[in-house]
Amino acid sequence: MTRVKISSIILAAMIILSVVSGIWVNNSCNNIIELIDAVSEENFENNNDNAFALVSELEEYWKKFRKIANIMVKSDKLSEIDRINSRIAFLLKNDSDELESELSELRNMIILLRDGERPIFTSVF
Amino acid sequence: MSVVLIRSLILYLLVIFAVRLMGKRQLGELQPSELVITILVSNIATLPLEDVNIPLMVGITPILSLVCFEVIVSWFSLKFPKLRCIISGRPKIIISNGKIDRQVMCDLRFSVDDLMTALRGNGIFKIEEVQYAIVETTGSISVMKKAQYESITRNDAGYASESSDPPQVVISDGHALERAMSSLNISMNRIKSILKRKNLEIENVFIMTADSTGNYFIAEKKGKAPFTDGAD
Repeated sequence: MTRVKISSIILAAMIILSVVSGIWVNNSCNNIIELIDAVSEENFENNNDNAFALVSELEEYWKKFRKIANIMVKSDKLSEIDRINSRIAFLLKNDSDELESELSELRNMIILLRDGERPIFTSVF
Repeated sequence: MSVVLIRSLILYLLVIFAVRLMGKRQLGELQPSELVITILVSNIATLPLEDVNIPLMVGITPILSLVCFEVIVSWFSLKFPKLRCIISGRPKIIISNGKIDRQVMCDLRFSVDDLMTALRGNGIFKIEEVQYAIVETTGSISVMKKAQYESITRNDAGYASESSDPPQVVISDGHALERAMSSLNISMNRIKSILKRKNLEIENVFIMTADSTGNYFIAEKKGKAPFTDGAD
């Protein structure tokens, strides 16, 4: 009976942990997507100062998220996002045409990361 | 390198914990579900060891959840016999009244060689000695011999005999084992008085066994001939 109790506690803890981590990843990814959209909008309206402020906010947010996400997400997924994220400030500074495509790619990768952690049919099977 | 070392240590402890959580079973006596879990756990544990890009949690979560599922399902199967039949199957009678059931052998995909091997494993080399054989859910075969081939027992011979539990180790390498003493209802003073009669101290004893009827066996650390004695 002790084994059953220990197993039930471990199982309950893991269910809670997976639900909490799922919600956290979902919320964090939504916040990052909002920031990416805001950067894109500010860039479109040529508000470079606001765009720079948002990019540094995005980088900070991503750094914080990455530290914890590293525990539950394969690091090659995160490294790819790292690579794109680190280019955004540079592209914005040089007013590059690639900025929009990079932002769009970053957005898609964050969506993939978010959906990968959601227990929906396509991500389970 | 150090990351792999730390990961190995964590997974080693985790796998030991997982196996302990599953309970005591010999490898050959595993139920089908336990066998599946054992294979899965050993495979999953290697993934985060081989690839440091895979977070440790990705290895820990399935190992713990599979073992917990197994423990909980086995508890449910204890409570619900129908579930037990679905998960573990039913034992099948393969020889009844000395007759081999070929249909059951076919169902179990059991060849004559498999049957003979299993019988030899039970110490039976002549199939005509078998009265009844059953294939257990673990895949092992339990055999009952025909009455005329059974060994004679004390009961058959009419000898009086007293049953008692086997002796237990009460001193091991100079250390008294209190748990064994309490299970045998022997006090430390009694052990000391037995040793005193032999001019021994607990520290000088390599092994001492005792049983509930008062018989004991003492082997010294010095390697002298062991003492054995009956109830006194």
